[in-house]
Amino acid sequence: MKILVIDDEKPTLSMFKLFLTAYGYEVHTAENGEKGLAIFKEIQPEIVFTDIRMPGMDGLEVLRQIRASNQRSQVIIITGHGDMEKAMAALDLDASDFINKPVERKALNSALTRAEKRNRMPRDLCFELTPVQAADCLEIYVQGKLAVSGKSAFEALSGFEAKSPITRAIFLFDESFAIDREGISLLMAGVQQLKEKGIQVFMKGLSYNYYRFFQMAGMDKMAVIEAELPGEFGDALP
Amino acid sequence: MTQVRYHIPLVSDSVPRQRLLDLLGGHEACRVFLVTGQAAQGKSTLVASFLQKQEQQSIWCHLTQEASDHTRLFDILINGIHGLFKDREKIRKIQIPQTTLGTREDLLRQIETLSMIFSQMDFPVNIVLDDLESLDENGSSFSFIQQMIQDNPGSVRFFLLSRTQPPLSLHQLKIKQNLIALNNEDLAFTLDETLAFFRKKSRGSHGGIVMGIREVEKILRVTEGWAGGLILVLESIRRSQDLERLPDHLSSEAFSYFSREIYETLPSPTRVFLMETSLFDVLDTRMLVDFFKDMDPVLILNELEKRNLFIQKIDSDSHWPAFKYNNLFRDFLKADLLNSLDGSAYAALHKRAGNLFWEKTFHKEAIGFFIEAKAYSDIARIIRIKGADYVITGRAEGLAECIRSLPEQMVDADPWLIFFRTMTRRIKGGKKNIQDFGQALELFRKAKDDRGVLLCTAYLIEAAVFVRQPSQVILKWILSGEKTLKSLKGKHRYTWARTLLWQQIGLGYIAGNGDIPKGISACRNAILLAQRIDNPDLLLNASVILTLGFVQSGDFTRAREMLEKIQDITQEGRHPEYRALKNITNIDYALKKGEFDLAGTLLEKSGTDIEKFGLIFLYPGFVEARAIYFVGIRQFVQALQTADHLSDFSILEGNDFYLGISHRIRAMSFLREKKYDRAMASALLAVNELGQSKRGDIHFFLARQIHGFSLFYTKQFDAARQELEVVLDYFNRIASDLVFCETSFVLGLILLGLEDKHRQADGNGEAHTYLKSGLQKAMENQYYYFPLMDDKTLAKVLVQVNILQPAATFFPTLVEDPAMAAYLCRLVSGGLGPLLLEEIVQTLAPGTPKERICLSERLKHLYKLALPKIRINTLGEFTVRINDTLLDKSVFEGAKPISLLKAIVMNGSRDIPKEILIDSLWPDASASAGEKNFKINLHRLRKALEPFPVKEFGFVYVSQKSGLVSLDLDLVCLDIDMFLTLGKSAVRLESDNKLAEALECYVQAARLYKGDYFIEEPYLEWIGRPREMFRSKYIEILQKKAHIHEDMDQWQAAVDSWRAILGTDPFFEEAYQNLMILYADAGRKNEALHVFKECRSILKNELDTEPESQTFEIYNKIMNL
Repeated sequence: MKILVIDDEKPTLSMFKLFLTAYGYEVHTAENGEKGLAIFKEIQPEIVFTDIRMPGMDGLEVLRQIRASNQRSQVIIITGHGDMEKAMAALDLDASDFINKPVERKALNSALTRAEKRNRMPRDLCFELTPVQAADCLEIYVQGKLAVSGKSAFEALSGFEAKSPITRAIFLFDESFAIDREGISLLMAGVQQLKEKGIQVFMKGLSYNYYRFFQMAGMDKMAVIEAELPGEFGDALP
Repeated sequence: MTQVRYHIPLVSDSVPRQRLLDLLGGHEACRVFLVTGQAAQGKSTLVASFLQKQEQQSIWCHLTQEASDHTRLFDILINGIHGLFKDREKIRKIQIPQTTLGTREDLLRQIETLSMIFSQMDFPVNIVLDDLESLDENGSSFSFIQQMIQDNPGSVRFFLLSRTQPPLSLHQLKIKQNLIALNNEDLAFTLDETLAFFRKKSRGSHGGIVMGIREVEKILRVTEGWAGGLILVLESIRRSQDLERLPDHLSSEAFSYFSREIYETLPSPTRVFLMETSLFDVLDTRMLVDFFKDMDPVLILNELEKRNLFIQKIDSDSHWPAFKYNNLFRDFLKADLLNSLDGSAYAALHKRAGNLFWEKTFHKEAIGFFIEAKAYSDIARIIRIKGADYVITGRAEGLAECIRSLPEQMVDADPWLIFFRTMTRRIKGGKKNIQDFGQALELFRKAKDDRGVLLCTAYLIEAAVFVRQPSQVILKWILSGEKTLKSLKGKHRYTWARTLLWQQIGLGYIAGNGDIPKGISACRNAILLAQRIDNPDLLLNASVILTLGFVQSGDFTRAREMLEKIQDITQEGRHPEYRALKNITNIDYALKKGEFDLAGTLLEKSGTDIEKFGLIFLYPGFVEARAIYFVGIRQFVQALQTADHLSDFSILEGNDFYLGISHRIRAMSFLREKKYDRAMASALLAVNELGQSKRGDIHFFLARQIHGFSLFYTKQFDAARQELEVVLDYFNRIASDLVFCETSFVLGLILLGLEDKHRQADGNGEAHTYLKSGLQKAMENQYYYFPLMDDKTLAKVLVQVNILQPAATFFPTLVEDPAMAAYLCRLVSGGLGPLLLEEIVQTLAPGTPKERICLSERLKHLYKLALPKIRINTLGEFTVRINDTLLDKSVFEGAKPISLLKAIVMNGSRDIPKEILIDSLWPDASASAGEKNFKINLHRLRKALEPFPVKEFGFVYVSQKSGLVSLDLDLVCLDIDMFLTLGKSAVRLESDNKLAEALECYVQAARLYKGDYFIEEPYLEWIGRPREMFRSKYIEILQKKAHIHEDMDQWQAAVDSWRAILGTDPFFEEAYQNLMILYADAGRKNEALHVFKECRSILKNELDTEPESQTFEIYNKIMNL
């Protein structure tokens, strides 16, 4: 499987190349966005890692241009620690995932596992929010990309008629889950509504990087979040 | 007997296409000959004819699709090379370098191996890659060929023969005129050649064909000069004598039609023989005779070859020759075979061939036939037996292909097949390998197959390490491996597998789990076993991992020792792992010696190898070395950035050990920047991280050393002492001398600081012990650079160690020990002088006059070492240089002090009675006036040379004792002394036949002679003799130099030397004679004669004489040339 890494710091490129090659990928590297796009066109990699801050063409522009020509490749954005705004902008541009610098192994593994799973999934899965009541617990299955269009699903959720009183709600995110800026607002509002009804909210199945992102967004103050760590023998990796 | 033949095929080039042979001959210097053309266009015939006439070594590789994988192609090439160099032990022994620590594929390693072999070839070799079109365009072999051509050091010429244009980028070679390409049109027969072909054939044993120009023109038109077509036409006409039957256009598609015509004239058993032999890539008659019991393959194939019927003899063994069909003809025969046999008969035939080859131990060929026959159990049997061979020799793709031919279910049920399938994607298989090795291991355990369990566990550990599994996962497999090994203890079985498992356990501990001591122990077990079974590959791999353990633990001394031990096994550093490890240890060594340029170069090489071969385990050590390099060259920003990168690596790796090292580097950088508080904080972080590591203590104590130094520089002497005493003890125990020296020095200074602080005098002895033992060790190791200490601290150490010398004897100083004196002299000459002077002055300043005198007596030798050196040139312009800086004459305040210095030098520089100097400078002055002038000018001279003398030591360069004046020759160096010394050394070296060294001395001596001795004093008659002596010496040196240049065939340098002699003495006839000979030898007769004229003219004009008879003799000889 081909991976392209774009970063203006040569040592970072060397490090990524060594690690990803050891993982069994065919790794290509580029020192700037322009070169990165040229290589992208030539080799059509399944996965792209790009640093967000680079002189000249930055990571967001790389993402924008890749998305203009290719919807299949998984583009993982490397952001500075706590760079929330850039991360949001990347999500708006349909980034597949994002990892913070310095990159932790857990984050890298999680991003790779997720990228590979998403590669095998059909594109353009519609956003779906499926509530299922089990005793006093409302299990809410979430799939697809949560954007502004997901508003109606949340409206439907708020109108969900429980058979008996609910004390807990668990959002169960599947691998296809993705989100953008508007989606975050919708989700937070949805969680807030549940809390206002006295329901304790849990979140499960989020990838490690989404877990970190939700923490940055302050979601962990509203809900108890459990991250899904990639297994030691995760079959998603080559 | 081997199935692969490398001889140039024997071709009956009945009509040599001379224009093509000439074309190839005219491009002999090219490195690549690309010959493309349709089948049977005479490509092989042309190149074989060309090479047969070349009388050069050639390796002819007949390629089949199997060679599409680069490992197979490499195998073919290396076998060919081994055959060619069977008498050369060094090349014959070369094998594919094994991967131990790298993640990148083996192609680059194989290319390096070939490049190394090519560079060792001291004669030209041709490599022919025939039937290149058989290779799969998407296979790895084309990249391999591309790289091989690119990395060719020039000793090899490649001939690429292909029906189609190969997918290679050869533009650069074309631009550099290193490539000659012949295409189908070039190869096509011309009218003359076609005529010659038919004329020659009409004279042959199958004669009877008479053809006119028109007929030949027609044949040429329909065949378009296609060589194969000409043969077909010839055969057809021989039977029918009818040209009318020829179609309008004869392409290779018509081949089958004509072939059948010829084929059907053959007897039926022969036809069956030909049809069935289409199975074989190479028609080895020794094999065929067993396959066709009632036929004579030699007779049949020889007859075909004689008729030039699309067959080549590729081995002309008189009893058992070998042949190869032209692919077109073979395809025709194969098609016939498929038509005449049903599926089961076809399979049975292949199985029979497979059995025959397996009996004859050609397992690769046997597998090929079994695959065609779908004889799965036979294939599986061979894989189980021979799989390990494929793995060891790196032919992963060959093995993969065999396994791919088996039904998946069959493979999944057999642990050995799963194991070997996984081995085909060893390392590059990532996490999937862990699953598959795990599956095989389970099956091996169920089957109680100990060998399988050993091997599977070994590769499971390796796979887990390479995909960076967490430490506890790796440890799980390590413990499982250790348990298996324990259960087999004393059984003395499966030693190879046990060795491999110990090796991988070593890798697991060192590169995965981080328990270096246990890893080192495991590697030692592997090394012992590898030695017992005399397996150099395992020995090398285990040694490389062991060295990695030493490097990771910071024990570069043992790493270096280990590398020296394994140097021979690696065949001159061919293994990238070995090379990179060696570079890293050498970088450490260079950094400790302050050789930063060398360290920089090695870092670059090391980085390239690590990236190229994916040597991830060496990466952190490399980054650490790079950071320390930046500290050494005082590029602190880069040093900190590099340390940050190491901590990024640590985070990505999920390993706090490198985080500890990155803190230590930051601490080191801050310390050298004199940011002591930040150094202390970083050092403490490092101590904290490294204290919990299992990777040995060196890094931990190095961090504590920096912490101790930071405490010392911030004058926290008690805490510093407490820290550094422990550090010193540790590094003393592990004999790490450089760290010991620095720590000893600082501890000595700490005790002096404490003494000062607490007004205690009893610390002196202990302080001196520390300082002296540090200095002693520094001298023994010849350390001139101390990574953590600044020069000011070092100057303080040197001053204090001399002052604190116990007064048991009368003022003995360390400098009086000749070895120590020499060491200190070199140490101080590295730029320490000014700081040392400053330190001496500061040390003397607070004392009473009596104390100062006492101290100055102890420091006088050190003071002299600290003073700048003076160099006086007398050959040519008289100059004085202080520390290589030219002294301006104005500082002498007049001409007389300079004259006084000249007089001192002219009179031998030492113990010159002042009266002699007065007499030569002021001959007409009265005694008192002379004395007075002398005193004034001696003072001016001394002030000029030593403007700020330290009162306690007085003037040092020029002394006057009991009326005798001397230069201190320890501090003042004369060019004439060096000139004479170099001359003598050169003569001695020349007599010892060390010509290169002698030449270097002559060159240096000649460079010192910038003109006559005291050239500015032409009227001082009494120096005429020494002047003449130096001039003669100079000419003698130039003569000897010129002769050595002549002996070493350095023509231009020899000419220049003789010319230089004439520049000094234009009447030196021997120089003219030698120049004439040199020019004549170089074929430059006119210039030789011009030299003679020059000689004759100058002798006539200036001396009114003729050249010597010997000169005339040379002239006459040249005239007669």
